[in-house]
Amino acid sequence: MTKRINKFLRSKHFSLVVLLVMMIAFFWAFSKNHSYLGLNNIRNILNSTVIYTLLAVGGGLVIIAGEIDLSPGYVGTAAGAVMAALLNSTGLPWLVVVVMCLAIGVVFGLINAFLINELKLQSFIATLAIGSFIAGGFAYIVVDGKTLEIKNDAIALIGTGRIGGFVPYTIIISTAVIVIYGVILAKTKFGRCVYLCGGNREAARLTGISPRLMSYILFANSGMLGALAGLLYDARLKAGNLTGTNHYVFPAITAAVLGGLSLGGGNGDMLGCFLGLLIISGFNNGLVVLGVSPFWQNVASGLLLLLALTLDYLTKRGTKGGRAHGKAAGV
Amino acid sequence: MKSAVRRIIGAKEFTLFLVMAAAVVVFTAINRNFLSLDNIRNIFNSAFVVGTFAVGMSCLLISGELDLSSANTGMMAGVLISLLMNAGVPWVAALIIVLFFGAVTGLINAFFVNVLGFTAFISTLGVSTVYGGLALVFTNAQNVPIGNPAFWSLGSINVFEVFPLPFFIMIILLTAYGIILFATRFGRRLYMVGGNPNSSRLAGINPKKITTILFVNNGVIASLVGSLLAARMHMGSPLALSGSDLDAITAAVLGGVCFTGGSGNMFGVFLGIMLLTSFQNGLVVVGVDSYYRVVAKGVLLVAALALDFYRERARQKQLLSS
Amino acid sequence: MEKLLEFNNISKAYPGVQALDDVGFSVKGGRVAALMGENGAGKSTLLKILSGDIRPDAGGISIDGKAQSFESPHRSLQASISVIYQERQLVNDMSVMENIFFEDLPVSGPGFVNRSELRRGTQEILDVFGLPIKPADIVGRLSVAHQQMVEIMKAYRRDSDIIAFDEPTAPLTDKEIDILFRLIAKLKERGKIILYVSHRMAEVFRISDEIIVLKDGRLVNSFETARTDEAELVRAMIGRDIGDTYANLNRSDNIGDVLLSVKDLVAKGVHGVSFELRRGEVLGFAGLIGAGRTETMRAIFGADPIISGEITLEGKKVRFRSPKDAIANGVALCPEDRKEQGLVLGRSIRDNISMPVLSKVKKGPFLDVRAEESLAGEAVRTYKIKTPSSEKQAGELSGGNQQKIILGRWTSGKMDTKVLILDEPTKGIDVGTKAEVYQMVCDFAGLGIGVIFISSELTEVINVSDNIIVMRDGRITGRVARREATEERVLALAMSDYQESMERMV
Repeated sequence: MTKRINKFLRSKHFSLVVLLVMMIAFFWAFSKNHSYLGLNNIRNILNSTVIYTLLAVGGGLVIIAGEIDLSPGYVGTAAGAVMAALLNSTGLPWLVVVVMCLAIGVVFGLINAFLINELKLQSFIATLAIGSFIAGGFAYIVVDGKTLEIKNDAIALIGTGRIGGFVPYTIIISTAVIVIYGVILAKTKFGRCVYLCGGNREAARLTGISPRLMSYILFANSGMLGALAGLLYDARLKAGNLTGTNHYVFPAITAAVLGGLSLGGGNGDMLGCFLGLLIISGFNNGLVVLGVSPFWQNVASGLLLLLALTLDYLTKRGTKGGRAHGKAAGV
Repeated sequence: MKSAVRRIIGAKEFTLFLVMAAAVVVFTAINRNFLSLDNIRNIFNSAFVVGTFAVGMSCLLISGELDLSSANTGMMAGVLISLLMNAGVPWVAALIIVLFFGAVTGLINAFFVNVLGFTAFISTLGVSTVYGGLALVFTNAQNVPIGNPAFWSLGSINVFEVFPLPFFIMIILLTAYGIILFATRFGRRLYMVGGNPNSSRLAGINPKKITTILFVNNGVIASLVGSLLAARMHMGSPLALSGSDLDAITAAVLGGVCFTGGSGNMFGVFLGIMLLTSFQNGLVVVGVDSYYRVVAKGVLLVAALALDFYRERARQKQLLSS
Repeated sequence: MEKLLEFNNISKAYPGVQALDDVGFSVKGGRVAALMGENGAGKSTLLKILSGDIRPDAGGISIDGKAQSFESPHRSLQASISVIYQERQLVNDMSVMENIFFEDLPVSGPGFVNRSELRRGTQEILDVFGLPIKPADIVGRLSVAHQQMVEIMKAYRRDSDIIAFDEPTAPLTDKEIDILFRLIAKLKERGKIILYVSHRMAEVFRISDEIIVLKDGRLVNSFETARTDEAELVRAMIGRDIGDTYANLNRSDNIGDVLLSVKDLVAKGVHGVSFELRRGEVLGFAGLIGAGRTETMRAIFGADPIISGEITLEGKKVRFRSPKDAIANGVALCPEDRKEQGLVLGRSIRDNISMPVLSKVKKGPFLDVRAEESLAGEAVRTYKIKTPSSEKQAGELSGGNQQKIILGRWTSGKMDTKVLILDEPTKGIDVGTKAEVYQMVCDFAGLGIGVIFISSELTEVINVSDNIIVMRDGRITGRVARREATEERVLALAMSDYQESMERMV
C-alpha cells in the first residue's frame, strides 16, 4: 500500500493534481463570492471540456501510437454539417443520420491512414491536407456557406438537455467516452498494443502485432470521435455551421501533451489526459470568472502549451539525472 | 544535348510546369479573361502573401525544420506597425521596429527548438497561439486603420505597370534566396544539414547555428509580409493572414521541397506558388464555388505528394535494376 | 620527414563489453597497415576513436610523437585524418562535386561558391580515378559502387596524411577495386599512412605491408605481410583459448526428423538458400556481417518479402505473410538489434515478455495481469534475470538481461515455439551471461525445439551448434558438422569466394 502511494507521489498524475489544486485554489480565492467553485460554474467548466475531450481521446490514442492526427476537428465540422443538411432535406430518422455522420468520420480517418501507411506521407502533412482542406472544404460545400438550423427535437435534446435538469447529456457522453477508452487503453490487449506500437513499432511487428492495422483502426477511431465532437457541437448550437470544431484540435492536443502524452509516442494515459483537459478548461473558465478579457485566453492557452512542453522537458531531464544517480549509487 | 533534354524532362519542375500549362490552357479555354492583364495582376496580388511566406518557410523546410508561427507573426507585425504609426512613429522607423520584432520571434522559436529540444511544429504553434491572443488584446479585436498615404503606396504602386510592388518584392526575394541557396556556401549548407545531419556534424558544420539563422530570417520575412499587407489594406487586422503559413508550406511542397529536408529549390517553389495561386484564381474565374476551391487545394496537395511518392519509388526501382 | 601514427594503450568499454583493451601499435608513413579480426574484435571502435567520433576511456593517439585530443570529428579532420566509414556520409540530393568538397566548398567574393573552381577540382579528382561520372551528377542517382567511390574521393580530396578505410570494397565491383588499389599504391608512394580494415584475405595480401590482428578488443599480434600466410593469420584471429565453457555444456543429442526445410529461397540479399532444420537440432549459421544470414531468417519469418522459394514446416508447405503468421505456426525470431527491433524499452519486463501471447492472457475482454505476472516471474526465475521486480523498465537493464527477456518471451509457458531463430544472441553481452545463453540454447534443443543460431563469433557457433552452415554474399558456401568443424575451415568458407567454395565442395 505504501508502495502504491509512493509510486503515485512520484507519478506525472500527482504533479498534475498539484497543479490543478493550486489553480483551483487561486481562482476560488480571487473569484467574486468564491463563485469559481459554485455548482453552476463547475458544470460550466465540465461543459466546456466536452468537445476537447472527444478530440483529445481520439487524437491522444494516435499520439500514443507514435503518429499525429490534425484532422478530427475539421472532420467534426464536416460531419456536423452533413447532419444538419440531412436532417433538413431528408426524412431520415435522426439515429440513422447520426450513424451515417459517424461513418463519414471513419472514412476520413481511413483516408488518412491510407496516405500514411501506403503512400508513406508524414502524418502531420497528410492529416493537415485531409483535415483543413478537404474535410474543411467539404463542410463549406455541404452547408453552402450558410449556417443551417437544426430543427430535430431529439438532436436538440442531446445537445442541450440535462438529466434531472442539471447534468447535461453532453457531459455524460464525453465522460463515458473518456472512461471507456481509458479502460480499453489500460486493461485490454488492444490498449496494450497501442503502447507497444508507439514504443517500438518494429519490435511490435516482430512479435506478431500489426502496426499497420493498428494505425488504420486508430485513425478511423480518431475520425469517428472527431465526427461525434462535431455532432455534439452542432446539437448544442442547434445549427450546422462553417467552422464548427475546426479550432478545437490544437487545444485538445495541448491538453493531451500537458496530461503526459509525449509526441514521440508510447507514453501517457487517459487519466493524465483528463487532468490536462480539466486544467485547460478550468484555466480558461477561471479567466472568464475573474473578468479577464476573452482575448487573453488565447494568449494564456498558448503559454500553457509552452509551459506543458517545458514541464515535459524538465521532468525528462530530471528522470535522466535521477537514473544516472541511481546507477552510481548501485541501485 | 540528348542528356540535357532528358534531364529537363526528368526534373520535378518539368512536371509542375506541364500541370501549370495545362491548367492555364483549360482556364483560358473556359474563360478568356483568365489571361487578361487585370486578372494576371489579381493573380500576382494574391501570390505575394503565400509566395513571400514560402521563401522563408522553404529555407526552413530544406534544413529540416518548420515554422507555424509565421502567419501570426506577420499578422502581429501588421497590427504593431499600424499602432506605432498611429502613435506618431514615422513609417520607416515603424517598419524597422516591426522587422526587429520578427527577428526576436525567430530567436524565440529557435530557442525552443534548438536549446530546449521541442518539436518545431508544436512549439511554433504555441508561439502562434500567444500572438493570436496578444493581437486581439492590443486591438480589442478591432481593425487598426492607417492614415498615412506614403505608407499605403508600399502596397499599391505597380512596378512596370504590371507588377504590384509587394509581388515585385516577392520576386526579388525569391531570386535573391534562390541565388543564396544555389550559389553560396551558406545556402549549400542548408541542404547538407537537412539531407544528412550526421555527416554535417562529422564535417564540423553546426546544424543549430544554421537553423537559428533561418528561424530569425523567417520571422523577419513574415513581418515584412504583414507590413506590406497592412499597407495594401490601409489597416492592421488581428484576423489577417490566418492559415497562410500552411498555404506557404503547400506551395513549397508542391514546388518540390521535401518535407523531411534536404531538397528543393526556389525555382520549383516559384512554380508551386504560381500553380497554387493561378489554380485558385482560375477556379474563381471559371465560376467554381469558393467552397470547392478549398477542397481543390487539398486534392492538389495530396496529388502532388502522391506523385512524388511514385516518382521516388520508380527511381529506387531503376537504381536497383541497373 | 616521415610521418608516424601511434595508438597508445587505448581502452574503451561499453556497458557489459570491453571493446578495446590496452591496444597499442604504430604505423609509419608510406605503409599500408591492414586491421583484421572477427566481428566484434574492436576494429570499428578503433576507427571511431581515430576519427574523433568517440573518445577512449584511456590511452590516446599521437601523430609524429605529438599527443592528440579529438573533442569532435572536426578536430580529427583538422589533424589531417580521414576515415571512410561503411555507412556512406553523402547527401543524396546534391551533386558529386558538392559532396566531394563537402566541408570546404571553394568560395569567391561574399560567400559565393566558385562553381568553375569546384568543377575543375572535381574533374581533376575524377581524372585520377578514371570513373565515368560527371561533377554535376546527383549522387542519389549513381550506382552504389559509384557512391562508395565518391566517398573515397571525398577523403582523397582532403589530401589527409592519414586515411583509414573500413571495408571499402564491400559494395564495389572488380573494376572499382582495381582503381582503388592503384590509388592506394599511389598514396603510399606519397608517404601517406593508410589503415585498411577488411575481411577479405586476398585483398589484404595484395595491398598491405603489415597486418595487425585484434581479438576481443586486444591486439594479438602484428605481422609483416610478406612473411606470413593465410593459415597463420586465421590462427591468430581465432586464438587458442577456448575454455571449458563448451565442454561443460549439457546437451541432449536427440536429433529428430526434419522440422523446417527451405528450398531455393530468394529475397533481398538472399540468392538461393536451401537448408533443413531437424527437431532438437542447433543449426549454426556462420559467416561475416552482411553475408545474408539475417536477411534469410527475416524472409522465412515473414518480416521481409520473399521473391521465390519453398518453405516446408512439419511437412506442410508454408509461406508466412507476416511475423504474426509465423508466430501462429510456432516460428519465433529474436532479432539481431535488441534495442531497435527486440524490446520496447519504455515498457516493463512483464509487458515485453507477454507481447506475443497477449491473446492468451485474457480474462474476458481484459488482460489478466496476474497471468502476465506469473509468466514474467517464471522467466525472471528460470533465466535468472537480475531485477527487483518484473515491473522494471526493460531499458534499465543490462544487455545480457535484456537478451534473457527476449528469450523468455519466446519460451514462456504460453508459447508453443517449434522453431526458434536466434540472430546474434550473444552480441554485446558479457562472458558469464554468454555461457548461460549457450546452455539455454542447448536446453531449448533438448525440449525438441529446432534452434537456428546465427553468430559471427566462430568459436561459439562451432562449439554450440550441432551442424554449421556457412554463408557468404547471400549464398551458402558450406555445411559442416560440429565434429568435423574447425575454425580454420569455417573461416575459410566464410571468406572464400563462392566460385572457389563450389569447387571445393565438388
